[in-house]
Amino acid sequence: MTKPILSVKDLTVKFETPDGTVDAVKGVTFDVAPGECLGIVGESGSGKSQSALSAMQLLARNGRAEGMIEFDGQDMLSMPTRQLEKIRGAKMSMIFQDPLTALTPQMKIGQQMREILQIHKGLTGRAADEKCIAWLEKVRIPEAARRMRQYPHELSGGMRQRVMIAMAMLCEPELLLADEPTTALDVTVQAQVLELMDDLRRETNTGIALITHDMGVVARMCQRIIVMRKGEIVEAGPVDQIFYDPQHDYTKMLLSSVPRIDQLDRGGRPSIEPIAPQDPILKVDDMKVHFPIRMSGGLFGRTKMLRAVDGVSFDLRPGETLGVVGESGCGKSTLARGVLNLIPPTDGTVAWLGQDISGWERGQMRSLRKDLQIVFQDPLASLNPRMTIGASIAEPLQLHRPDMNRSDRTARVREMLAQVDLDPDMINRYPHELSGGQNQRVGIARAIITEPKLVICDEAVSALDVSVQAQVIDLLIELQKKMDLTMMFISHDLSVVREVSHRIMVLYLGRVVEYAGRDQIYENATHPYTKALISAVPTPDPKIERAKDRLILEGDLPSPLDSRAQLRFMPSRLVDDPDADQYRPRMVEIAPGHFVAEHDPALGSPGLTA
Amino acid sequence: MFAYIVRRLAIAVPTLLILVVFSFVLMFAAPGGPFDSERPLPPEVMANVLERYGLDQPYWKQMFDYVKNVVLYFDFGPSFQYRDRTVNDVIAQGFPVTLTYGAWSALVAVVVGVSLGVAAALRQNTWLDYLAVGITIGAQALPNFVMAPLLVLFFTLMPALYFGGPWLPGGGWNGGQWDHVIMPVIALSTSYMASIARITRSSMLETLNSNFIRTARAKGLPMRRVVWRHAMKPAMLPVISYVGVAVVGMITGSVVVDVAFSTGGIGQFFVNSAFNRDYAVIMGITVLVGALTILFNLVVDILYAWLDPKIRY
Repeated sequence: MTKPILSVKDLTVKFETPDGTVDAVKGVTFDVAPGECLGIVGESGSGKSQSALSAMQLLARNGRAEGMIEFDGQDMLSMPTRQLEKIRGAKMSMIFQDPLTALTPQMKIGQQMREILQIHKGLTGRAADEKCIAWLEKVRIPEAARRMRQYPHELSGGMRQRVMIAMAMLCEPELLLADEPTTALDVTVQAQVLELMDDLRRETNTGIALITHDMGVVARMCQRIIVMRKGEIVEAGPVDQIFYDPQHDYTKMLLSSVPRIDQLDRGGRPSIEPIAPQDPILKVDDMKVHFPIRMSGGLFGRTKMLRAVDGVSFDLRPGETLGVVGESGCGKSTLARGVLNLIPPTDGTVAWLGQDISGWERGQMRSLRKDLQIVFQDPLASLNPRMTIGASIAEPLQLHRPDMNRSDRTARVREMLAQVDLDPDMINRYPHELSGGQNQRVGIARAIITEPKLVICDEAVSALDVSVQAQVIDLLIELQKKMDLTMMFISHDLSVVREVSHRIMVLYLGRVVEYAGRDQIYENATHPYTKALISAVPTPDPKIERAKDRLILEGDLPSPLDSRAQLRFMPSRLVDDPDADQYRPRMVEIAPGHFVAEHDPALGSPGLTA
Repeated sequence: MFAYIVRRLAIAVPTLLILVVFSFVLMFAAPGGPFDSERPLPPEVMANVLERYGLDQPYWKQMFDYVKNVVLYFDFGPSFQYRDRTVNDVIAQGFPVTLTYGAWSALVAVVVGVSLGVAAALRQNTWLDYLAVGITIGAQALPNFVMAPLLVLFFTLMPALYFGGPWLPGGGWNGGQWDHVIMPVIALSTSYMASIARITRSSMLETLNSNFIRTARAKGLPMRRVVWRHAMKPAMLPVISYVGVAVVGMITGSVVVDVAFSTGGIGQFFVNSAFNRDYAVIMGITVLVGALTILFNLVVDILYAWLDPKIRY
């Protein structure tokens, strides 16, 4: 093996906190070779990010790293700051998780890139500009010269992450530390960014330490893997060995929890049962939710309509789960709020048990809220931090069950906590004392305590670690069977949706592009967008990943304010004017129950017209 | 941007009108009038006086005339308590004084406050930080009506007693000569300075903990450059919004400072007028303060757009 570029031995990281010393990393040893991609995998709190930050000597002020970290033969831990600053950004650089907050909002992209060249290479002026533009083009940013003069907020998340990568690569470092570089991105953008990093590694022979919780990303990118848990390495080895012959129980558990887009079998875990054809419990017809957006221009500005949901129809049968998937800005959350009348729809009807409830007032809706519940994405933020979890769960009862007294309610809450596999004695705890998974169970308990008929899960498992995510999905499936729940399961994660849904609806910029039974969607995807989405999801299986023929959707999600964007898959009917009333592709039933929007031929799909 | 400024100035006009109406209503709702005293004037004299100042009219008419004179002739009318002087005269005499020591106070408060706050944030939990926090707490706890006499005691009276002469004059204005300005500036600026320092410190600390600062450090930039180029602008955002209000407070003066140092500033006139029901002077100063507040809010918003490129009007 070649001499490693980064060599870490017995690294420990400790944080001094008011509650005492926290051991974040407890004796970790690993190497990264030039041109190699090492995957550092683990769930939240495993110490994987802190290990990388120690290598850069960028720990928070109360953190202290001990052990040995050698970069290119130099000891990083004892290095004076002056010397460190020569290595950071030049020989060793880092990409951070959240592209939205990782760039200085007050400085133009060009300024932020040029200063690296100025400091490390003494390059200024035109020479620096040319180098920056060359790298921006290399990371496939269109109109690179113009981007140099833009501020970060003018770029999309995927674009900003590519700027981060370009910035990190500007001095052609020998080592790139990538901390969850694609976690905050949509799947199609993630696929582009991963492709790019892989190409750069091959071209420049840069060593990459890729920190991630996503086994699919690891399978796609890495040659070797270390699996971390609670600050320790539980297993390390070549990628095939870890995936096909894992030794440690934790690795096995991690691999079995990952939802797989190519498999239905959940390996002994509970799965959904087919449902009998019945009259729908909920019928949504041509729902539209439009928001007026103030734009600059003229003395008093002007408003433009943001068509968040633009003509969506579907129905739900009792006991059925409808999966709603789409990328950020496709209107999936707005659709959920429109169905519940939390945001009054602009147009269309929502029929609940045959009765049209669109346009109902808040008072009228109140009687229905008992039957219609929602579970939100961020479990901690959606619970009141000053209320005990017991009080939060019991609150709906005070309104909907006036016949119950305090002790009845407490008994019911304890029952509910047991139902969602929490210890009933936790009733007096506060949300901050619980983990993310426990809080989400509280959110579910709060939603189901009124014995609702319909529960909408809005990205309910997206913020959770995979193993916890798998448990919460198990719970939802079991509750559905037990209580005969009807569900709308909204997620950006196609693999998760596959596990829980009977039928699936794919949204693109407020419109349905494909709507079918789940097997039809995954095995016979017809719309080019659905195909690209499915192809973009990394499979946690290195052999499949290597053999995969990728359908990459070029570019970012366009602005939903531009009326041309909705016709991205049917350019033949496009009127080239951002404010024009565009053609609306109609839905075609290509097989019983399988609806696809009209589109032009693309990504290997033949075109489709009604 | 230009359209935005025009729009904001256009909105300022109705805002000021509403301010005038409210002040008028409040003044008339308060019992007593400018010419009431313990020994009542003979009724015919009273009627004469009221007619002379237009006070016998219904107050909507008075309000209308007032607005008309202000808008058409920029005439705020005659003062009731200072015979033979108009409100314009009173303001022209008092406001330059207030503006002088107020502007100096604003400068001192901002420069010292921001420097102290940034220094404390960069050296968090060191003796420098503790010292800065101690100074700001002390400065906020010490009210200016205590501070002003203490300053006079230490810089005027005691040196006069023990060192043969005062270091600084204990009062008066003398055309705004520098030694007359120093103590009013210290008395007025200290508590504003303390607030600015505290806001700067906490906002700088928060900024230094943000992700983009970590990115900047990961790029290998020296700390000095990280602070000046990456942290300064975002850290100033909350400071600016406080400074806007504070500057208006300082340049429109303080009664305590005016009384303690006999500067002849506008704050003194304002309080005297309130006691004497000198409606005209009260209204004049209210409109002045209102206009300045609107102006500085606009300045703050423009600065915001400069500090935060996400804000576009």
